[in-house]
Order: sequence, then structure tokens, then C-alpha cells
Amino acid sequence: MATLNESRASEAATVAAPATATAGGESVHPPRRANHPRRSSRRRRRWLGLAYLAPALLIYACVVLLPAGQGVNLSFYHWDGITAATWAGVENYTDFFTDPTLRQAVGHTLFFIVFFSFLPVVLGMTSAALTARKDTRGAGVYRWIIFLPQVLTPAVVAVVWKQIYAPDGPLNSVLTAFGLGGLTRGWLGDFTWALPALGLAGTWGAFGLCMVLFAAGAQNIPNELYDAARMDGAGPLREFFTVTLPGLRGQLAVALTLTLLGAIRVFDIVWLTTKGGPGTSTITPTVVLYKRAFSNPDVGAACAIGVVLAVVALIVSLAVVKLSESDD
Amino acid sequence: MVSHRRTRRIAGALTPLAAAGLLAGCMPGTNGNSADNSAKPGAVATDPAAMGKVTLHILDYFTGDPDNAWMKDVVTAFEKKYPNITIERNSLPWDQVMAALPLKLKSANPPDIVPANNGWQSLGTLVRGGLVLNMDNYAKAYGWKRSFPRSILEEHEFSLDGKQMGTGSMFGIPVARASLIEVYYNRALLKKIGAKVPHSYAEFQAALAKAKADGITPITMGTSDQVKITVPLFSLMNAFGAQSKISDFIYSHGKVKITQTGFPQAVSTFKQWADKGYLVKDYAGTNSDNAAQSFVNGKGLFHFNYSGSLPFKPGQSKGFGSFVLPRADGGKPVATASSATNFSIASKSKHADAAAAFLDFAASEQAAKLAVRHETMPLLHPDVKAPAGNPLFSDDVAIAGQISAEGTSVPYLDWTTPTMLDTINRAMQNTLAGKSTPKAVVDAADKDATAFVKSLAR
Repeated sequence: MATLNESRASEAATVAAPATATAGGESVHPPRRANHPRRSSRRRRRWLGLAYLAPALLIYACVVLLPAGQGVNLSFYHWDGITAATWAGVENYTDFFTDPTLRQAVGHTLFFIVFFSFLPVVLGMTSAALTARKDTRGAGVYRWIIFLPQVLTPAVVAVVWKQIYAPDGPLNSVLTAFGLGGLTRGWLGDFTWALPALGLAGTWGAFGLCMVLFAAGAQNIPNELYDAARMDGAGPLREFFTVTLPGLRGQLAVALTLTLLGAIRVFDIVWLTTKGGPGTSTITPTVVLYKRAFSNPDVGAACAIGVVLAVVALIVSLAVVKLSESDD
Repeated sequence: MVSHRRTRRIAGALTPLAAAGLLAGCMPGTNGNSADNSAKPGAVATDPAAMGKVTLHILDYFTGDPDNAWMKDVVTAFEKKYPNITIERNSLPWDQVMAALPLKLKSANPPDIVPANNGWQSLGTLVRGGLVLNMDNYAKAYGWKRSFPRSILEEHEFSLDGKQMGTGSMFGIPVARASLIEVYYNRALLKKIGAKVPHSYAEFQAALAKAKADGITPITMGTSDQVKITVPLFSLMNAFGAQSKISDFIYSHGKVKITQTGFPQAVSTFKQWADKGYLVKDYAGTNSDNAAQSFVNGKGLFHFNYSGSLPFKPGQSKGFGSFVLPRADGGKPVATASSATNFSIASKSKHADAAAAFLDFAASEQAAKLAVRHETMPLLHPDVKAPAGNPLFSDDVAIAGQISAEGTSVPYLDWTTPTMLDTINRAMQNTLAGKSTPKAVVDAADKDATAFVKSLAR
């Protein structure tokens, strides 16, 4: 499953992947040993394992751990990237409460979570439930079309949507054709509509992934369970909640983790379409981060945003994994 | 159960992270240069022929034509004149240059010449970090302070401690090419509404009203990419404010407040234009490039933009002309203008003499003539004339000549602070959309400027 999204959120996939194994009901425990007759050889083997891992660990430490540590350190300073930094304490972090732009950005993230995560998951679940057991003609083609956004580069997706929402774009042409010319506008330049417009683009982007995940998971649910449910007189709705949904719990965890992280980290489509505008109506924490890091150098403040995003992402993925396993 | 183990494992993974944080726990930026920005005593060499074999490395953001063509010609001409000097250019897009500049200048082998942008966002910070060379010795040797107009010269000046802009020593130098904000007009549409090229502010307003009444879009613009809403705004500020007040505010000299610069009137007028329907419909959903293209395609009477940034096909520019927005008080028009780039010398450069010689050449009359040959606006040399046959470019050259001869230019308002561009851009969009009053824009800009001056801790 992780291979579907390696570029998007590989860390999320590694967190969530074991969850699918356990949700399948085959929790793997190493056989316990009463005593440890061969302890020394085991320890030696462990060191050998570490030695094999060492080159990778070293590189990981250099390119991930060390910069991450530096980032945390920098977040406690005011620094323009050139002259001597001054100690800031937690000031860069309290910005989340005092800086109106950043507060607004956090609000937009919550909004995006609905469009980038909940909507795609619900839609994906629905379409998977509808197609799971019936051999719809051309189901493969539909899936391929719906999965397409996942294959496209975010930059391409952004350009396509920018064109769709343009004042003389297809969306306005369709509206005019249906006699709704009064509704046309430059969607991405509209204070009210820019945010939902980007949200819809995100829903479109994540929907395919969710649907393919759920469709694949649904095929693994034994048919006997459905038969049993039917024997007990379950209708389609009841069937969904007692058989399909529990059977998809693992996939649900993966889908939720990936899409939630996507919503928290959304940057490319916003930057390439509206750059956070008009005004600050589509600004996200990542856009603020980018601006502070590169265009008006305030490196410490940028790092603080990065640290908070990383911590939130970690908490969210832990929570999702935990929730998906709580009944086991 | 798995989650428990997982939590512990994650805690285990975070421990080295925290350790790395502690290891890295030294103060950032302190290992840099102590900013000794004074000009070194002693004479400098000004004869490139006597400098021996030298290879100069230049970083620039001239990736597209005519920028690139001009720069290439200047380099070729200089190398031809002084065969002992070889020049290697590295051209990167603007964003990349600005993001990479501090790191490049800190490295052991920085490029000799770099295009640090004027203002606090780039050049000011580099001066405070001691990363660019004080060029006063060269200015004296080459006579730059006498030959350049004061209003252009001060755009490249900072005090030695890097806390004052627009005064002190030269930390950069203009080239013989201008970049300025002007108003383009469509000749056919102007004729259609029966108006002449506006020579007064009232005539300009009358033309807007007439165009609107005749069903012609008065002003074409696009702001969805968050860059060019400031262009009409700065023009209006120059029409209302006094030149000296605007400069003084941007350089944060003295105690000029933004309310004294004509900025409040500019914001209100801009808002009135929006309310009267003078701005093209859907400007907020259109990006600036598409807006420029649609103006070139004949949609709209006026268009505010930087010089040389309209996408003309060959011969297409004949239908257009340009002028600087006339002042409301009838005085000489003032333009927001600067050199097409600032060039600074890295303080670690080993070939500062050769670099200065090249920069003197890039600001020379010969370089200005090369600019005209590529139909791009010259600077510093008002005598350079436009070739015949391109009326729009003739207008441009006339404007540039006036700027150079009369010194009627002001710096870009967004140089005032590192965040000013974002501040004005956002506040102005809010106001045009009716989300806030014009006063909110002025207040936001004032707050931004005040906070920054305070942070300089003079």
C-alpha cells in the first residue's frame, strides 16, 4: 500500500502500515522464551544488525536528525539568516496565538482537513461500498480515471485547476451555458470562494487514492461474512456498518493518516494558484513558513512553524493508529 | 498493545533528535563576519589592462531577453576591450538568486559580483552581515558620485553599521539600464474616446471616465499572483506625494510618516477607481501576465506596469505608448524607478578591482547604447536616443532621459521594510474587495514601518 504514495507521505505509510496487519486479525508476536540460554549470541547478532544499519543510520542522522535538531534550536531565536541571531525564547511559538495571519492560517488548515481528508474518505468509502461486490462493467476504467489525480504532479494539478477556475475558464463557461451567468466570477480571486475552490481541488486529488484503497480492501472481505449478514436479514446499510466498515478499518487508518497529513502540509496547490491570496483568504501555515524562511527572512519564526507542524502531524498519525486499533 | 510499543519506539526515535538539537545548540549566525564595512585605505587599481589574467564570476537574474541579450553584449564588449579578463556568468531566476544569495556570499569562493536587491529585504541585510564590499574607493576613483543622479545613487547607499538606507557609502552600483513604473496606453482606444495623451492628472481622470462611459475597460490589471497590485498604487502615490517625502519615508530618514507621502490619497483614489468600475472585471482572479497579455491584445485603455514587461510580438508595440502618471499639483512627473539591477561586490572577492572595472563599464554610455539597441530602457545617460520606428520605445527612452537628467525618481515603497510588499498587497486587496476601509491599508503600512525602524535599534 505504501508504494502507492511513496512520495506523498512515506513516513505516514510506515506508521500506518503495521496497523493493516493487526486489523486483519493476525497479530504477530515473537514466541516468548522462558530463559535466555543463548543471550550472548543474540546480543552479538543485535550488534551485527546495527553494524549493517550503520551506513543508513549515519546518512539519516546527517540529512534528517541533525537538520531537524538545528531547526528546533533555530526556532528559539530571531534570525534573518545573516547577522547574529538574538534569543527569542518561546516568542516564535506564541506567534500562533498572537499573529492574526498565522491564526487565520491554522483556521484554514481545519477547513482543508474537511476537504482534503473527510470528504475524500467518505466519498471513497461510498463508491467502494457501491462497487465492492457487484461486477460493474468497466469498473477498472472508472477506478483508473478516479485514481488519475494521484498520478499527476501537484504542479500540473495546480495549473489545471487554475485554468478551470479562471474568469474565462471552463467552470464559468458551463455556468453561462446553463443560464447562470450571474454566478460567474474569478473563483480564485474571490474572498469567499477561493478557499472552498481550492478545497474541492484537494478533494478531487485525494478521492481516487481513498477509493482505490477501500476498493482493494473490500475485495479482501470474505464473501461468507456478507452471506451471513444477509441470512440474518441485514439490509445494505446494516451490511455496510457490520461487515464492510469493520473490514476496512486498516485501510481507513491508512487513508486518514495520508489525507490528514496532506491537509496539514498543503502547500503546492495554494502556492501555485493563489499564493495565499486574495488578501490572506487562502493562506496556510506552510505558506507563512515559506514566506518567513525565504522572502522576508525570519528564519526562527519559520522553524517554529515547521516544528509545530511536525509535532501536530506526529500526534495526528499516532491518534489515528491508536483509534483504529482500540477495539482489538 | 502495538501502539504502546510504538509509542516507546517513537520516544526512542525522538531521543537522538533532542540530542541533535542540543549538539546544534550554538547560537546561529555568530560565526559570520564581524561587519567591518569601512572602505579600506589606500589606492585602488582602475586600469583593467594592467590587472593580469583574471576570471570574474558574476551572478545575475537576467534569464530572459532582452535582459540576457543586453548582459551578454556588455560582457562581450568588455572582454573584447580587456582580453586579459574573462567573465563567467551564472544566471538564475530571481527567486532562486534571492534565496541562495546569503549562502553563496558566506561560502569561501563567492561570486565576485552579485545582484543583491536594493532595500532591506536583501542588500540591507547583507550590509549588516558584512557580506558585500564598501565601494566608496571605487566611487571616488571612477567619479560615480559626480556622474550618477543623486536619486539613483542613494538607492545603493547604506551607513557603515547597515542601519540607515539611502545615505553613507555605496554598497552597490546601478547599471545603465532602467526599470520603472509607467502607464501604458492603447493608441487606438485613446483616439476612439476622443482623448489625447494625458498631460495633467485631471486629464487622466477624465480619460478614465470617458472610457468607462464608452464601454471601454479603463484599466487592465491582474492581481491573483499577488505581485502587481502595488504598481498602480505606487504611481498614484507619486502623483500625490512630494518626491522628497516619499524618499525620506522609504529610507526612514528623519520623522516622515507614511501619512505625509501621498499614500493615503493614493489608496483612496485606487479604491474609488474600483468602486466606479474603472478596473477590469475579475482582476482579482486574473494573474498579472494574463492581464498584460489581454492589454496587448487590445482589451483596455490603460495598463500600469514595469517598463519593458509587456509581451509584444515584433511590430505590435506600434499601437501603444507610455507616460508617467502626471502629478496632481502639476509638477514634474515622478516615477518609481531604479537600475534594472543593483550589482554589489562580494566582500570576499579576490578580484574586487577587476569587478569594479566591469561594473563601471556596465554603467557606461556604451552599455546604455547597447540597452537601446535591444530596445530596453537606458539609465544614467540622458543623451542616448532611441532608434526610429518604435514609438513606444521612444516614449520609454524619453521618460528614462527625464529621470536621469532631472533626478525625478523615487525608490520602491516596498524597500521600506522586508515585509512591506506583503503588508500592502494584502491590505490593498482587502480594501478593493470592500473588506476594509482605505485607512486600514495606511494603518497596516504604518505599523509595519514603525515596527521595523524599532527593530533596527539605531
